[in-house]
Formats: sequence, structure tokens, C-alpha cells
Amino acid sequence: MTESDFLDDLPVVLSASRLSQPVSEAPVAVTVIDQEMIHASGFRDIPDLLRLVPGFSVAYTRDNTWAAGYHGLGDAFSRRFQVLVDGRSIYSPHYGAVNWTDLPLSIDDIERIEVVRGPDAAIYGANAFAAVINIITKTAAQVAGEFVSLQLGEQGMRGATVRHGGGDGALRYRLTASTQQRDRFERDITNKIADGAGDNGQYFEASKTTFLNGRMDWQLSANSDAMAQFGLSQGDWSAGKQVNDPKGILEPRTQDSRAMYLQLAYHKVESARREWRLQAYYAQNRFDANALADLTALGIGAVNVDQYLLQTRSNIELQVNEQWRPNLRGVWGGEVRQETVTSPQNYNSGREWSGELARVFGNLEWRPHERVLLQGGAMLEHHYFTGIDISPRAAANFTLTPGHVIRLGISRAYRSPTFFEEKGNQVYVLQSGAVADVVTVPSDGLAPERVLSREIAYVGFWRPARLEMDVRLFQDKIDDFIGQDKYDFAPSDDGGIRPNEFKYANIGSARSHGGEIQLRWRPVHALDLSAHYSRVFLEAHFGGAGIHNVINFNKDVPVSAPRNTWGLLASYRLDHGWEASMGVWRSDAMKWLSEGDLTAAYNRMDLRVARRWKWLGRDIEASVIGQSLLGNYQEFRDTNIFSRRVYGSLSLGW
Amino acid sequence: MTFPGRATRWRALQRIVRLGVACVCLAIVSSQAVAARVAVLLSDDATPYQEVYQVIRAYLDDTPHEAVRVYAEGLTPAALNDARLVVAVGVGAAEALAALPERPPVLAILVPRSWYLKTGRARLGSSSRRGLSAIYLDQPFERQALLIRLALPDVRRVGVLLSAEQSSMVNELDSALRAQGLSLVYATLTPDERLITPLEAVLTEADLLLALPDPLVFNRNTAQSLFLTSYRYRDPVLGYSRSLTRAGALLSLHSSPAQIGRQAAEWISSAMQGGTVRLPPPAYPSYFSVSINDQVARSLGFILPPEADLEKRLEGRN
Repeated sequence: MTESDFLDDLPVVLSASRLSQPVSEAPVAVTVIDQEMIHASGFRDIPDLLRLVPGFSVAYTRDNTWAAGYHGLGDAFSRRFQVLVDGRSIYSPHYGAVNWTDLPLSIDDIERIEVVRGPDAAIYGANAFAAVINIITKTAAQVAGEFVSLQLGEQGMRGATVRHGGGDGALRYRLTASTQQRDRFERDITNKIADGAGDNGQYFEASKTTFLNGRMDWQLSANSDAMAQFGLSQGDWSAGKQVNDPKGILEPRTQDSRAMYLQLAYHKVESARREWRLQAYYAQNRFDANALADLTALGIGAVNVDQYLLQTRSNIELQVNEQWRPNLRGVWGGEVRQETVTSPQNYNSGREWSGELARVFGNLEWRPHERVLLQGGAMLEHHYFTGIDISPRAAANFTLTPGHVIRLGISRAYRSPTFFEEKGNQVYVLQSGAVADVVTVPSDGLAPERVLSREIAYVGFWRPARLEMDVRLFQDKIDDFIGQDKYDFAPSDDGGIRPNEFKYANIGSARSHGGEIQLRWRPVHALDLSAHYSRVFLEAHFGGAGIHNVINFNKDVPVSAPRNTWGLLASYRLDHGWEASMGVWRSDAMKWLSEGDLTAAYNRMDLRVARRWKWLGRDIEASVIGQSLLGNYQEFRDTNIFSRRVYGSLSLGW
Repeated sequence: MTFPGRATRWRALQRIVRLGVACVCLAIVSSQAVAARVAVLLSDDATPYQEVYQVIRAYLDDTPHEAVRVYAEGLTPAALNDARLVVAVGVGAAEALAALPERPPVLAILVPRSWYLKTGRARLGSSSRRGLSAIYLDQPFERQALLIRLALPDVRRVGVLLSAEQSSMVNELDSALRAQGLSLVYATLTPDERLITPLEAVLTEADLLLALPDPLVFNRNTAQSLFLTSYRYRDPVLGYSRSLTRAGALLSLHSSPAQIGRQAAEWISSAMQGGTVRLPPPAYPSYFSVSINDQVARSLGFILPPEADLEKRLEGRN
């Protein structure tokens, strides 16, 4: 050892952009899902983790997609979230849905998830409408060595993940390969009587996804570093159904998906007062599913179902964090993006749709007094469909006594229409090439959905008791809600499959208010408890020029938010490496919008027992997880029965 | 009438002159005995060493002594010939000095304590007990323990990660912590072991990670995983350098080259007051600073007293 071990410069690891803002000082409500919670939950699918966030409803819809709603408004396409993985936006430009199932990311590689509850378009841009889900993955340096994780269980649960963390010195990498199989719901459905038993039969939903993902971190100097990531995934999925309703065969039995992305970032800490990050990425999601549906018996003919969908996103962005004075900080930046979509059946055209958007943003954080923190900023963006919008935000945090903060916030956000909402022209084509039926006609030009969100919140932290609590009362006004109007828009269409057509329009408005509470209590090292509760009132007002038939809007939207939801996750560490955890989730009945059903209220309980030990220098963890131990419940559709199941998991690290 | 007055005056004058000459002679003699040359031997021309030299030189400018800068590279006995004391700045300088067959009394500064106790003391061995000493770069454990109590009163368990080489300091550290009502949680790294496993074991139990200078634990390559992992456990890190604070430690306790230079200069001027150089026994730095990373404090939700307050309160106790 010499004096250089004291005097040499070290790389800046916890820079302002890498540190998370303390919940008490954030201008918005934040839930942090950390590795302890991920571990204790026993969940192996990333969207399931949103059950740990107050006000969220999560469901697997079938068709290998997930639905999520925050304070309601959840549908098959979950269009109102901005979801970022290390700053890379992963929601689909076509539907607006999040491509969870083909995401080449292992739950074992997640460092933490920060969920912004409520809009935050001033920082994250349009689509940060209902919430922002920020996934931060582990750096290569955090996962040096080898890691293997295996799962095996009922309902076709299979998982194998292998990770290698290597490199040394300034250049490190991690490489993860994984294959995951799920067969989520009961296959045979016989319980449906109400609708003439049309839905009774067999459902073939099952997924097998294999992916490879790599990340390289390169410390160029004490003040600069570079990061590169790539991911590839391939999904061999089963879907479709054989039910009494003959039109069931319009759903292809197999689905094929391929996704890839490449992401590069350069980060420079210029001084303690200024750092910046330049990032570029390209992502491509390709989906293919075909079927030849013989509907001759219905007088329609043989329909050639082709669900091919290719989406790409190219993005470059700059973010600068600055501190001008000890009490004045700011973040500003800009972003340019191109999105493309190709899907012949969804647009009745083989063309590639493409759009460019550009945005600049700036946010200031000023502390005029040690007990007062004022934050404000705005995003100015130009979207390819809706032109220029400005999304501002302001918040004031008042510290009552250290650790106890009151926050007042107001925020305006927009959600630009997706390609499908604006241009969608879904058709069923006969084998001959002739159009058999028009399902969706293009919109007449949509205005962006907009939300004005107001909140008053209290964030408290009792350090001696190790208790963190967060209470929030909110009121959201959503206008120009984009939904489907149903009418005979194409009278020439014979309507063989569906008599009427859908058209996306700004069909109304919604108002919601309510409150939610979350707490985290770690009184002793062995016990970790988190809990949340949310109560939501939602109303809808149908309205808009030339809207024909959205009768369900006034009826369905209010019940799309379950009145009460709560969750509890507790884990206790015993001696000799034993650990036990329990998760309980409760939701009132709710209506999933667009293609979903009214699902009954449920209580779900999961239990996990694990043991960790060392064997031949390896860290081993074996666990048994029981899910939905209280019995069956419905997810998204009343034919999606999530039943009691058990799986085992074994992981080794060395 | 004679001129007794004149004669008396003359005698008086003679006496004054004689006295004056004696005084001047005495002054010359005594100044020859006290004014001396101090060689400041630098490991190389890097900034920290130069800083030390500049501080010593400036301080000695106000004394009869003189500081001469010498570099370790190509060091010859002749370069130190007329020096009454050599200040070796850094391990490199001390090693170069140790290679010489004969050398004046040595004060080693800017050196780690473990190096001095294990290697330096023996290699620089002096015939006279007061002819060799050191000012360590490390902070005393007592001071670190006190800082933890002053800055983070809620911390009870202090975690430490050590390489096998440093494991001998466990007892010393444990008693220093105990004196402040703190307990020690530590893990020893076995060679070739992944850092993360013992680190997580420590972080699970501890409320704070005390970083100790140990090239096998904290270095440029491990800093990232150490900081990110302790941050994940919401455990703050107490570091030992300003650069550690900048990299992500919540706070650090450290002495700068200038602070050590100042202490060395004070030692030099008092050591050379007598005829022979008499150095005090090796010691920890008496001047030090506390640095806080405000961003980390904010993110982890810690409210710390200002740096200057902590420094003042630490000084009061030492």
C-alpha cells in the first residue's frame, strides 16, 4: 500500500443522474421497487411487479400481452404509460402497449424500478400520462462472476437463466441468456353459461421466449464512462382457442415474435456542478401470426388472417444535469425520435408508416428556504400527428419537520395518438385477396388526450422506527379521451364478421379522484414489510362532435378502476439462511376496457420459503413459491382463470 | 586636570566594542549551530508532493532554516550531504532513501501507517531513537469512530471489508468503535473471492460501510460495485479521501498534502532547536478535513451537520 491508495482519483460512481431523488423531495409520487421486494415477491414476470405499486391493476390478457391500468382506464393495449429500461422507451408505437413478453431482460438483472404515479410529461414527454415505469438494470460491475437460475413448476412454468459477468479494470460486461416458458391460465373453460356458452372450450395460450442480453460498461476516465447494451429475443408463442363460437378460429394458434435493440450511451461528469449524458438507441419488434380461417359455413369464405407487425424506434437524446448554486439545480435536454410501423392487415396497406418527433425540456429545482423546495419545468414537443404541445409541471415541497414533507403538485400531460389509433384500418382479407370485412376505419384526425393532474401529498420518514409512509390525494381531469366509436362507417362493407366498424375518436372525458397510501417498514434487519392501499372514484362523460355509439363509455370507464385495491408484502429472515415471505393482493371488481371483461373481486395470496447457503464456494438459494393459494381468480377476461400453483427455484452464484 | 572623563569614556567604549564583538561572535556561532538545511525528498514531481514542499518551504522561510527540494529518482548521498534532516515525502522517496548506506535523520510523511509499521520503520532504521519518525496519511480509528457518532448518531453497527493483509487491525478498530458505543461487523476477503458476496454479508448487518484504504478492496476498478451495492442497501459509506467523497461516499475524513506539510514544518522547526535532531514519535495527522457529498446525503435522506462544525468538534476531542 502506498499514498496513491489515498490520493488517486476514483471514478464518480454516484453522480447526480445516477442517484435517485429522495421520495420526500421528488415533485411527483414515486414508488421504488427494490431487489429485496422483487426477491420476496416470488414474481418472475416484470409486469407482475406493478402489483407492488398503489393504484395499479395488472393482468395478463392472453395473446401474450399484458394489460396494466393506473386508477383505471386499463385495456389490452395499456396505452398510457411511459416505460423506460435504462432510459430506452419500450412502449409500442403501433398500439401504445408495452412489449413486455418479448422484452429481452431478465428479472434477475434489474437493479430497481422507480414508478412515478401520475403524469410526468415535463420530464418524460407525451405518454408519461398515467404513470412512468423506470427500470434500471444492474451494471456489469455489480454482477461479476457466474450466475445460474432455474425454475420449474405447475402450469408449464419453466425458466432457465445463465449470466456471466466478466472483464476487469475499466472495461466490464455482463451477458445473460434465458429461456422462459409460461402457460398462465387454465386451458379448459366450461364455466361460461351466460352468453350461450360461446366462450366455452379450449384456450391454447402458452409462451416460450428465449433471449440474449448484454451490457458493457467502460470507465474511460475518472470523469467519463460509456455504456453499450444489446438484446435479442425470440418468442414461440401459442394462442387462439377452440370454442363453440365458430369465429374463434380467426385467432392464429401460433405467434412468432422477434425483438432486438442496441443502445449506446456516453456519460461525462464535467464537474461537481455539471454532468451530461448522450444516448442513442435503435429497437425493432417483429410479430407474425397467420391463420387460414375457413368461415364458409357462415357464408364468408376462407379468411387469410395475417397479423404481421413490424415496429422500429430510433432515438437520440441529450440530458444535462446542472447545479448553479447550492440551492438551485436544473436538468435540461432534448430528444429526436423516429418511429415506424408496418402491418398490412392493420392498415389495409403494405406501406411503412413513419413519424418523427422532437422535444426539448427543462426543469428547475430551487430551494429558497431550507424547508421549502420549489420545482417546475416543461416539455415542448412536436409530434408527427398532433404538432406542438407544451407539458408543464410545478410542485412545492414543504418540510414540516425533518423527514416530514407536504407536497402540492400540478401537472399537465398529453398522450399523442398511436399509429393504429390515427391511421388504423384493420381488415380481414379473403384468400382471394378481396376484403371480407372491415373492422376499423382510419380516424378523422385525433387531438391528443390531455390530463390535468393535481395532488396533495404527505411523505413521512421516522428514522428510529425505520418507517416510510407516503399518502396522496389526487384529482385528474382527462379530456379528449381517445376511444373507439362503433358505427356502420363503411356501408358498402357487407359486415360478414362484424356488422359495424370501429373508428378511433376523441370520445369524451373522465374525472377521477381518490387517495392512496404506501408504507415500508423495516423495524429490524430481519423484517421487511411494504403495504399499499388505494381508493379511486372515476366518472366518465361521453361527448364529442359526431360521435355515434359509445354507450359503454359512460358505463364501463367508471368501473375500469377498482374502487379499492391493496397489497401487502412481508418477508422475514430467520437463522441459518432461511427466509419466508408472503404477498397478499386484493382488488375490487373491475371492468377491463377494450376486449376485457368485468372481472370479479379477488384476493390473491402468494407464499415463498427460501434458504440460502454456501456450497463449494458457491452461493446457493433454493426456494418454493406458492401462488394464488386462496384459489382461482380472473385476469382481464372472465375466461382467464389464474389458478393455485407452485413452482420451485434454484439459483447458484460464484 | 587630566581628562578622567575621557579616559573613562574610552574604556567604556572599549568595553562596548568588546561586548559587541562578543555578541556578534556569539550570534555567528549560535546561528551556525541552529540554521540548517532540510532536504525535502519528493517521490516524484506530482502535485501532492510539490504541495508538501511548498508548504514546508514557506513555513521555514520565517526561520533560520532552509528547505531544499530533492527528487527520489537518481538520488545520491551527495545530494543530502549537508542536510541535517531529510523529509521523505511518500513511500517512493522513503524507499529511495532506505537504499542509501548512510543518511541523516528521517521524517517520513504522506505514508500509510501499515507501510511504515510493516516495512518503512525497519528499512529506514536509525541508530538514534529520535532520529526517525513519520506522520501517517491515515486517520486514527478513534477520530473516525467519533465522526460517525457526531455525524450519524443513528448508526450502531459499522461494517468493514478487509483483505487478509489488513485483518490484523480488527482489534484496534473494534476497541475504537466500542469507545463510541459502536459495534463492528467485518468480513475478510479471501484471495480470488468475489467482492460482492462478503460485501453483501457486511451490508446486510451494518448501518454504515467504513472504507479503509486497502488496494485489494477499494480501488479504481472496485469502486463502482462497492458504491452501487452499498447504495442499494441504503448504507452510507465513510471514506478516507476527498476523491472518495466525490466518487460516492456520503462523507470522508482526510488530511490533504498541505495539512500534512504544515504539521511536518512545525515538527521540523521544533526538532532542530537543539544541537541534535530530536523527532517526536510517529503520529497521525493533527490537521484534517471532513468532506460531505451533498447529493448522496440528499438521496439517502441524511441530514448532516456542516463540514466545519464536524471538524471543530473533532478537533475539540483530539
